[in-house]
Amino acid sequence: MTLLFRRRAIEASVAGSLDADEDAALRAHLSTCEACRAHYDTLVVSTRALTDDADATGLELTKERARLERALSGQKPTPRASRRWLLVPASALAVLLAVVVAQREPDVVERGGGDDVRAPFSVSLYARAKSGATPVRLAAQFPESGEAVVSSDDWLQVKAPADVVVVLVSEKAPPRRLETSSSESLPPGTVRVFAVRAPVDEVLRAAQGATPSVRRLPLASAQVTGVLTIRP
Amino acid sequence: MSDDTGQRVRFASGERAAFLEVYSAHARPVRRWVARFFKSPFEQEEAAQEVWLMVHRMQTSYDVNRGPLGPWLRVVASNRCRELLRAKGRRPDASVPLDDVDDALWLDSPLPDEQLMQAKARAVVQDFRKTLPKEEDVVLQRGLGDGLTNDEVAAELGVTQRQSKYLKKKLLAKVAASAALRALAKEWLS
Repeated sequence: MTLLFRRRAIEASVAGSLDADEDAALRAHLSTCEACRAHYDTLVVSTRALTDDADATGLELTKERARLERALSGQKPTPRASRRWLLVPASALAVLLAVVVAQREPDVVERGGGDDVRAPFSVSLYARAKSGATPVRLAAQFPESGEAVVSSDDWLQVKAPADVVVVLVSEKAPPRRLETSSSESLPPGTVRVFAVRAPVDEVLRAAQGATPSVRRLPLASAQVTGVLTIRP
Repeated sequence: MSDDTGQRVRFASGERAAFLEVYSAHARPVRRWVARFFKSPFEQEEAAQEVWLMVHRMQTSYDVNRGPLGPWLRVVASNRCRELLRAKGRRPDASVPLDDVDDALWLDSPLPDEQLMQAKARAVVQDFRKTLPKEEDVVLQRGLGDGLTNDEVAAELGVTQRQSKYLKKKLLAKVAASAALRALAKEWLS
């Protein structure tokens, strides 16, 4: 996404002109990009000053309610798995969001409490050549190794605790949510890896067969982060 | 903030409609409390969303006999904001009380530095609004300030929905381009 395009998207978001998916994608970007977040913050503060609303404009609250209702409404059911295989070919789209939320007993989750008081966790990335000639290899363990190098012709496997969401974000395009375990693509280049404990209600929703929502996960506060380099 | 016993009973029973009624009544004060913990509007929005999802999850644990919802919501909001700050490795501002948040009614009022900033903002805002055509000023007040839809603003202005949307886009571009507003926002956020 170009800088100008991002700025236009931010202005459209503050104006409430983006649809839900576009706004979610932009918010995912804002949670990782300080420059864009600063532009967003400046615009919001300016509009608050102009409308004499110190805490939030009426439009902000309208958008907040819409986001809340979306988050609370039943999501469409999706099959769940603790691991997913991702295809990483060269001709790729710019961003991949890999959501890994598996079924878990609600009472176990509830005992876990807030997302900052649960035990630290790690995320493993496994790679396997698409040709199948080489065995699966452990590419990286975040946060221990901090980075991994894989080929654009590799399949990737993400393994994480059941209540952890793993998100891979490229800088080249707005984030896109992975709806199913079907093949996704990544371009050669650098991808940032975020792993966040899903809020308890998200885990419960996933356990009930609904699609978890990644749009409001605080990626800026990810407990595990790393960098993934995709070789051509 | 008004609390109605019937509404609180329905809220405590987990009724979705009651939750949304409570949201409508308390959304603005919750934003104010959240702003005590987070300076960045983006972080405020994310935190407010987390607070309301927590409220929804804890809805049935609210005890109607404990009285109005306001103090209970203030405690839930404060606790959730502290958790979010801890997750970011940060601490609340020194002006936020550690205890007795449910009684901390002063959280509802603007802080002295906010009042000072509002006074400073007035002149900048007046100058900016003078540059706006009347239609864009209506879009500013009714579309952004009151949160009316493009259709509603269009009806007020007697223009099409598309024109109303265009006016809003044009207005935001002007806001983004204003050096005076940027400087004001920068000071506000510092």
